[in-house]
Amino acid sequence: MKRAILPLATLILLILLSGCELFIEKPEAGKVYAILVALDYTYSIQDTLTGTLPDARELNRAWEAVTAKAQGEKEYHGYLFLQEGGTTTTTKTVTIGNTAPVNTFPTKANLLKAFENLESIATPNDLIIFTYSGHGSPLGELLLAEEGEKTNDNVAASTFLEALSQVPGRKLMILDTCYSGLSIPESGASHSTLLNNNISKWYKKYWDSSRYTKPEVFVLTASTDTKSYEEEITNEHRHGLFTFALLDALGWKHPHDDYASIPLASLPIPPAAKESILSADSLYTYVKDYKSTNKWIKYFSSFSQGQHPMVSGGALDMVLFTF
Amino acid sequence: MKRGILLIALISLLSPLASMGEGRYYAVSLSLFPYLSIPHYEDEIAVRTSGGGEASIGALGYRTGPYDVSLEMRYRGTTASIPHGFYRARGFDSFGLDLRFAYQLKEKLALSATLGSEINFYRKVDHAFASFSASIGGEYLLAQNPTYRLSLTFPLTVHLRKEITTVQTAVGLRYQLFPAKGGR
Repeated sequence: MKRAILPLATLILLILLSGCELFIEKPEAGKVYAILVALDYTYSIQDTLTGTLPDARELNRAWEAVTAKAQGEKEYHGYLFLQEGGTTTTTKTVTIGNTAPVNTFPTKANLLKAFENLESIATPNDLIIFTYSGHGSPLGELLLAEEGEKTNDNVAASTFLEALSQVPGRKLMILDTCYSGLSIPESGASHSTLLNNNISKWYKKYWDSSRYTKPEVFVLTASTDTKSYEEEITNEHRHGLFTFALLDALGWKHPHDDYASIPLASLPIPPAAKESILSADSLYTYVKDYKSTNKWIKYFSSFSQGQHPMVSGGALDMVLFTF
Repeated sequence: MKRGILLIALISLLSPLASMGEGRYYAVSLSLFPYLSIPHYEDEIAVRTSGGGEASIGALGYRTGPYDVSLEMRYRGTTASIPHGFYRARGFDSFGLDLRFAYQLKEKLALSATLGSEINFYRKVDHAFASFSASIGGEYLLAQNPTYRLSLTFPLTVHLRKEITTVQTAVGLRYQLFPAKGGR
């Protein structure tokens, strides 16, 4: 017996020690770039959404605060692409790195140009965040603006997924819109239990020809294949239900009089961070738990049980920040 | 740990080492393991390390002579991997069914093999996947009487997921109860 135990113990020890995490140097986190898109649709026949602009503006500040507290380069660049009021154009531009200025009216062309510019300056260690607050269609489209037009340009979210996937670095796409779960690319190895799936599909997936690859872009959404909502938090201050919970997950403060006056240094390490790590999963879990607690109901009288967040599936979780 | 040793000692004292258990039996197995994931996709590192525990219950077991076969239901909990770089493997819970065979090599040493399949649920995100498992290992008899057997197990398990193959080297305990031998 002794002869059998010794080789076995040696094998166990060898396998235990072979954990790569202990020997390979960790990469250093790079800069953070965020493109934040919001439309209030005042100009169009769509229902006006007054919570979308606060979503984008406050997320921009919240991400900046989180970057400042995290390990790594602590350099944050946020670019707001907003459609506000009855106007169908803007003269505002942003300069991304040393590239040519991009007009910030949230059209497909302007956003794709912004991604193209990011592609030329981002590095593999950078984090790229894209957020969208606005209407979505049951076909997984984002309802963007058209320059000088009072109509919307329905653009498939996959258009931006493809554009983002060309940008070096980790990419997180956050969609606070109706039917946003339909924009999440299907994992090659797992099925969402929130959509119409069952055990036979899970086994079918095991044998089918699809392959799992490390997601180029992680997608976090406000809902599955249902509508998503916005509500008033305090006097005339509105947010999307999902973004409100997400802001809380990042350590943002509510209620507040003026979002711009909140000192970023006063904000805590994001409460969603677990074991000093803020990941796509920890944000998702926080928002999901938020939905099931009375925190959400406290602010939102018309809380809908139907709205449930979603996140990209598969074997890996993406680390956003380490503290 | 002390409690475990005490329990084994107590069973050994109270159990006259009589003939081995025979016939139909129930079984409970518990084990702990490191879980080494070898991805089939491009990852930052070649292997990610998680940990886990497993519990299985068998209501349909039969032992005759040196042969032993049972059908068991299994729960396996696997943690998220050690944080490294920009990604980490997600933790999950598994519920599966195993067909287990064992052969008594010597008085106290048996060889076992298991084939099974399971449904796995990622713990944080609402995603599920199916997979298969196969294991081979040894069992060292710690104590026995006509009613039950207690063994130390050390199986090597391969978890065959679609995108990952993993290796588990577990250490555990297996308790078998032979109700047919009980009573007067």
